[in-house]
Amino acid sequence: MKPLTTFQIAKNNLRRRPARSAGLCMAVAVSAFAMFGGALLSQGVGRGVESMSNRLGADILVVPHGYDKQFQAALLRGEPSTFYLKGDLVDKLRFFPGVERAAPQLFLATLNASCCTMPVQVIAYDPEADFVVKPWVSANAVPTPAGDEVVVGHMVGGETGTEISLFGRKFRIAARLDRTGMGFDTSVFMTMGSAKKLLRTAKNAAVKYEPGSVSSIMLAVAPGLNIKDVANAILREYAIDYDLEIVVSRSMISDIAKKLGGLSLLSRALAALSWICAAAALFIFFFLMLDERRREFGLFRILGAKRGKLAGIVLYESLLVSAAGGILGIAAALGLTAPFHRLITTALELPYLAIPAGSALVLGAGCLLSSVAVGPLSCLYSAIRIGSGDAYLTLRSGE
Amino acid sequence: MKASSWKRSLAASLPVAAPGLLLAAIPFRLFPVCPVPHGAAPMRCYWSGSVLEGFGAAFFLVGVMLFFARSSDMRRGMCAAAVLLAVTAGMVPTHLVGLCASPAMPCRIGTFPAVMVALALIVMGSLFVIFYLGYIDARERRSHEAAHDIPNRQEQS
Amino acid sequence: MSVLDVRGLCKEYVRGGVPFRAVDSANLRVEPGEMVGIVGRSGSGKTTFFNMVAGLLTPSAGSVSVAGTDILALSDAERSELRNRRIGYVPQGQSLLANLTVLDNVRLPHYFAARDDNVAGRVFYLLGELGIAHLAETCPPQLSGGEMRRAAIARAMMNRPELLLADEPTGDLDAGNARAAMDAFAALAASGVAVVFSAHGDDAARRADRVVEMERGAMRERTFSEA
Repeated sequence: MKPLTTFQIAKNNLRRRPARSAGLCMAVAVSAFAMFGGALLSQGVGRGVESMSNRLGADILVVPHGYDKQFQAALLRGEPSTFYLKGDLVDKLRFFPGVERAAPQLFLATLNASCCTMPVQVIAYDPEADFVVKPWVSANAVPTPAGDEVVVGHMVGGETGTEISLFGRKFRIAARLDRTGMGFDTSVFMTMGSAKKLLRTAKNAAVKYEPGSVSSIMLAVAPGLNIKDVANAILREYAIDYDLEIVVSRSMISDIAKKLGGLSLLSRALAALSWICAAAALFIFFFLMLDERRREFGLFRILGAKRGKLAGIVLYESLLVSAAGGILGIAAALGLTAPFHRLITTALELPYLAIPAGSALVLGAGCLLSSVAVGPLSCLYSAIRIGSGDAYLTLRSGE
Repeated sequence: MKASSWKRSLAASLPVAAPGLLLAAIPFRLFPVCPVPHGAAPMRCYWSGSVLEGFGAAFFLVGVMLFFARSSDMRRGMCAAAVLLAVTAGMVPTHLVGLCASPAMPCRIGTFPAVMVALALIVMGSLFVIFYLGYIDARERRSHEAAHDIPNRQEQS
Repeated sequence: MSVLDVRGLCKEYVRGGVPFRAVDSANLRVEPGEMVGIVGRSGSGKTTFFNMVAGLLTPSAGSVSVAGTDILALSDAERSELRNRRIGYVPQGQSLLANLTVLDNVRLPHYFAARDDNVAGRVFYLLGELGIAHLAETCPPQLSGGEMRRAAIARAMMNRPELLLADEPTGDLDAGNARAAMDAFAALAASGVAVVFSAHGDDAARRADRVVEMERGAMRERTFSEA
């Protein structure tokens, strides 16, 4: 025969009022969900922003006027676009006062790739001059793709070694890059030479290309100089002739970081609010329960239960409720955030990189602890009150 | 039907019927598959979605039948079948019919995870009915037998 | 040594500004194996007396000694322990917990004693002696009044107390069940347990070795000629 334990007594007490117990459990579950889910999302976005700022080695991004939003969308979310700048600007900017390095890219949107109707962003870079895409591609231990080869982002379909069709031409996938949380994940990378050759023979007549054009120029400013001053100087010199626009990458990143800050604040506020609501619900429940069960607790005292034992039973009940709710909430947060994170971050228009499993585990443990604690903390007052006074009066007051 | 058995029937029915309804609504309403290209044939994800819509309706019907099931054994059998059906349904987008190749497609980032969550809920709900409700039924049966059976045996002895 | 020694026990309340004695200078001594019945109408102070003897209510005056231990000198925790190990109490009315089986209800005192010894033998022995072993896995709502009372008696005897207190154990039972309950008390008394029970009328009190009358808080031993 299994011994009678505090767990059994607490469990049976909770089972007596299943709807009420389930309601309390749900209150804690909502709190745990908000806490863990919010933390997973905001930390993932934080990693995405960090990844982006690490990859964006350029200080200034020069794009055609009116295309800065498309450029950011391509960079952050891989929303494909095609836009052009006159190519002779590259050399002029390379030797502009204050500019240390200049690297051109070509952004092309295909109509389809491999199978489906979703366009893919092609990013062509100059392997000689580039200092943004190339280091990252090289960091993945991938050699510069040859003429009929491409390197694909993490989320582009197709296995390494198979072919992908771009503008009616077949290219071999030389490598797949690691996840970045940015638009690079859904982009295809090739050399500028391959791209220009491709465009000359493009079957898609909609893709109009003026030879020598580029889509954007990424500039590194010499150390010690004010980036905004250099940017303004470039604008003054070339804005009208080349119809260009400047994006200062630090401003772009800080705008995104502000959005992230807002997201983090919102998720923390929701988590705190739901924790307080759960604590209040538990406090009220155990306070009212105390009166309902005075007779029962009086009986326990008659049978020789010490005050501490009664308090222990009540605290155990609250612990069971909050532990069940905490586990449920965290499981729900994981069950929804993990499968849907791509959908969520696409909707949020923010970069996202999932936190490592170990960090998620630590985070989950912290959220669980916080959720489990809400029960005993909320009912502490009731637990202390339960054994106070003469046991006989406790018994009678329940009649 | 007594109040307690009505509650038991609902507790057996809802965990399968509700996610079944959700599954039926996912592919074309809640998290739609990739749109059919103009003038072209529907893609694989469209056909997966159609099959899964059917599976969802089937699970909802199973849930309704569970409400009217009288015996614990019948409920357990139906839920065991629901678990096997859910596993089969899970193979539709992964092996049997498939989805679009690109991981960034709507069917991959929205429809597929939602379908998997719904199927997981169906499996968990079925296991809940099989094990937990089954345990409650068995315990009540034992308690009822003990309370009403033994006095008869005492009279006989 | 007496199992129970009560001297000059009083409990005073204030009712409507007027002091009122629920128990007035009660004296009682009970030896091991003795069965004492306390007879009195409702409101005569029987339950208040019992609760003071069990250490559940603090008296206004007097002393209570159980198995040589002065209850009033003990702390709350010590009184709880005494109540658990040396006093068995059958409260008035229905006192089983509805959400526990009979088995779990009966072994509650053992659980509160936090002992490690095997309780199964003791539980089933008690249930068997009281004729309710077959109801071990049943919950109280499915039991009759008599069955519940017998379960409460089994619970009171769980930790082998020296003193058993039963507050109106037959008050809400039919004649058959009342007789069964009194038979159980008699058997306990025969085994050496001191049994003190209360009753409204004389029917139950006839089974007692001694009868004490209680009226308006005052206790008076009934002599042979009155019995």
